[in-house]
Amino acid sequence: MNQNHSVVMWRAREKFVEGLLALPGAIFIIFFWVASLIILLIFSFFKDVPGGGFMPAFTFENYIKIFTDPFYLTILCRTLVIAIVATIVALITSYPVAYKLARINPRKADFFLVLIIIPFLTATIFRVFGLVYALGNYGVVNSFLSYIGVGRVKLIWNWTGVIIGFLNTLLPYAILSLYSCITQIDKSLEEAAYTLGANKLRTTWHVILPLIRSGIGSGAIFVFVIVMGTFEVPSLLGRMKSGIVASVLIQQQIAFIHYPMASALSFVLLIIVAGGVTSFMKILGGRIKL
Amino acid sequence: MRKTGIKFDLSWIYVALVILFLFLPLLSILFLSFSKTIYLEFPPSLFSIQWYKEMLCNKSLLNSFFVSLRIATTATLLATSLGTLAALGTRNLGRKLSNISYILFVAPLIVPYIILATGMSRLTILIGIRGIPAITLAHTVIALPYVFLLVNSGFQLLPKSVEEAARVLGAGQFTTMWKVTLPLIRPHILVATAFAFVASFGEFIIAYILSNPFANTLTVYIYGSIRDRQEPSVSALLTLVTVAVIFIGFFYTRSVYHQRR
Repeated sequence: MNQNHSVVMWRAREKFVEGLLALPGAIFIIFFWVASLIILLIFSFFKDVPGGGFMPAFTFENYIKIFTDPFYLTILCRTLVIAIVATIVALITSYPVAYKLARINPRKADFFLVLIIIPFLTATIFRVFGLVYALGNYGVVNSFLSYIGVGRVKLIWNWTGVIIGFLNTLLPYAILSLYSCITQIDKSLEEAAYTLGANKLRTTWHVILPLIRSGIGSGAIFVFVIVMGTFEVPSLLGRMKSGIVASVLIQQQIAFIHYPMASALSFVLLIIVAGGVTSFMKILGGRIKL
Repeated sequence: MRKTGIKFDLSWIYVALVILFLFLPLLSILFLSFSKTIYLEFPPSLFSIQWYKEMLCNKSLLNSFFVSLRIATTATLLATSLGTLAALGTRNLGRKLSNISYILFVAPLIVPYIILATGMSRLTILIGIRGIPAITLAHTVIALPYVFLLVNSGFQLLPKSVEEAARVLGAGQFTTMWKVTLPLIRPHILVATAFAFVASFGEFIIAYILSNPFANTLTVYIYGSIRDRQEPSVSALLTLVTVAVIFIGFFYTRSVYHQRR
């Protein structure tokens, strides 16, 4: 009995010691990431001093301003609309690719996956650089179009440019998360649907899509979160000075130094993103996986 | 029969178009770096290495590249060690603690980096660090979730019996960890370091907010270059970086596959 007890104690101690290994990482995240959020929360209640600077206070002024001032309401709505449009377009565009790759033999699919991952590994800003030279007014695509006699088209420095830029950076996320789900579906399920007389569209809608809900969910989360927080794509491909939340945040910190306002806006952004992510998770299910 | 043939072709054309679209920026960077003109034209007027020569003379561009390299290396080392330890420490926790630690270690991944950057810009002033160390610490925070998740997925594939066998044969807790567990999940740790490095090296918004004239990363430099000037010499450096990434990635995957067998 006594011996048994000591074995239990020993096990528990070993477990405890093992758990301690996680401590440095946890402290690191708490000290830098959680602390950053707490600082934001505190500063968001401070008073903005016109002309730069802040005063310690406890006021909801900043939050009230965000939800009443048309300027802030517009950018919040615009950011949300871009994020939702980009998420939907990215998922629709990537589905056929993911489906195709999931239904060919895995060796062949690996080759295509590598092709998709290579641009994925290059940073967003590097790709924006390439896109400016590819799609700009004097870029290679326009040069090609005028060469074959179509004439120049304005592809970037407008909304099209922003969506093209986001698609270019985010399609791999969507393709990979859909692909990993579709490969797990038994092909006989689709065949059964065909045998029972469903056409391709009906099969996709009623059989495949319900089965890959978690893949759609994790793809949507990645795209949505990244679009909500990305600054370089709208700024460089849309040339929008104060178009979205991220660019306003940057302006307020670097150009105007309205730190309390920037903190409040960050917090509103955080809440919108958290709401988006939890609703994606609720509707579609699934934990974040890599 | 004929109908399926046509469908087959159409979907392949679509896949090819999407992949071409994904490669469009990389291809235009590649062609620009060898072109004679300041813009990329069709048909491109090749072949010249003037932009490579200009790149070698561009001190601030090269400097920003080395700053990025330094930050990414340090952040990767920090994130890999902290993240691997965290994954080791959290795998046998109770349900409640395990959920809390999962949220804690994954949350930095799903909260937009601009929020972390805004908070960090004040935090780093409060604790008195700035420039390169500040960016390095912030990059460690964003790289840690990748390491945690990838190493965790390694543990899920690892059968418990292997470690139990080591314990039964008399190996202590840490000997088992060091000699059995870690070598078995080494491929996952290697992939995690690659992800961490890429996450830090290509990160823009945190580096932009925390940067100062002495701590410009490559991404911050390129942002300024796209916004303010025509600078094709950047494409020369980006071509070299991309080739290096593909090359290293190739050998990485090969060594990882090799270890799995």
